[in-house]
Amino acid sequence: MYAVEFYIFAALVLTAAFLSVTVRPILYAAFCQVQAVVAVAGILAGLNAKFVSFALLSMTAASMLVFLMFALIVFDFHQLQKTVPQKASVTSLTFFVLLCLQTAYLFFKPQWPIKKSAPDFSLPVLGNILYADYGLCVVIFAALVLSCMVGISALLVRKKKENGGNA
Amino acid sequence: MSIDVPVILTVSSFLVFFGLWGVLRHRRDLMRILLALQLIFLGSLFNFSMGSALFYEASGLILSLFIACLTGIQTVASLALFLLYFQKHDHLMTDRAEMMKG
Repeated sequence: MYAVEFYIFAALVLTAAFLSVTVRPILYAAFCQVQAVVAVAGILAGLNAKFVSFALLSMTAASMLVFLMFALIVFDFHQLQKTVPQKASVTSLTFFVLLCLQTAYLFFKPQWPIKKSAPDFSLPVLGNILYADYGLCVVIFAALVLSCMVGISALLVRKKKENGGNA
Repeated sequence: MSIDVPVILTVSSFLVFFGLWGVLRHRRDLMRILLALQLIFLGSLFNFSMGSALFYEASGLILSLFIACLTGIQTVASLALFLLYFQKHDHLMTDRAEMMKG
């Protein structure tokens, strides 16, 4: 009956993805997106790929924090007051309970057998493959991340100087 | 009941479809487009991870790591650019973005 859990998580992913497209306020869409990512991380954890699931969760948390900070900058709070639904607290509580359950699942659930025993996707195995077979990709991605950070910082500093602020 | 390849492909295709639908539905709002693009990336990540588990090959998980990394870079870089654009033009609507410099 392990497949039942997969189907539950897949249904959660698809429902959250559908809601993130259809829901009107952008903050709710971002929360639905978080729900979808956490459900995918739950599926990955069930497949014995816990490191990848935690990497996915941490990257999503970081990007969503930046997203929410940006949304707070550009948000129209008067419009937010109009678009808050009546049962917002119930909805947010439901999402919170779902997120807690899925996070607890990441810690306590053993792996799912798909056909035979699941392969070993532990951190040493992944690290070995990453640095033995995909060393060039790692270097390219590291250069990409570094250039991206430097470019963004340079852009923001230049903009600050143009506005007359202290860089 | 088992986890079959068609089910996995269906879920990931629906994720990509929702992403494309989101891009087309909210094509005037840059931030909603960004969220929809993340859905597309999530679909491909799901596909690679499940394929990796099905075929007992860890390369899919490595590619999933790269995709997650790419999604984070894309989100943060585009939000920084959006912030610059918003400070200058006071909106994030694509149909009013014809005055962008190269």
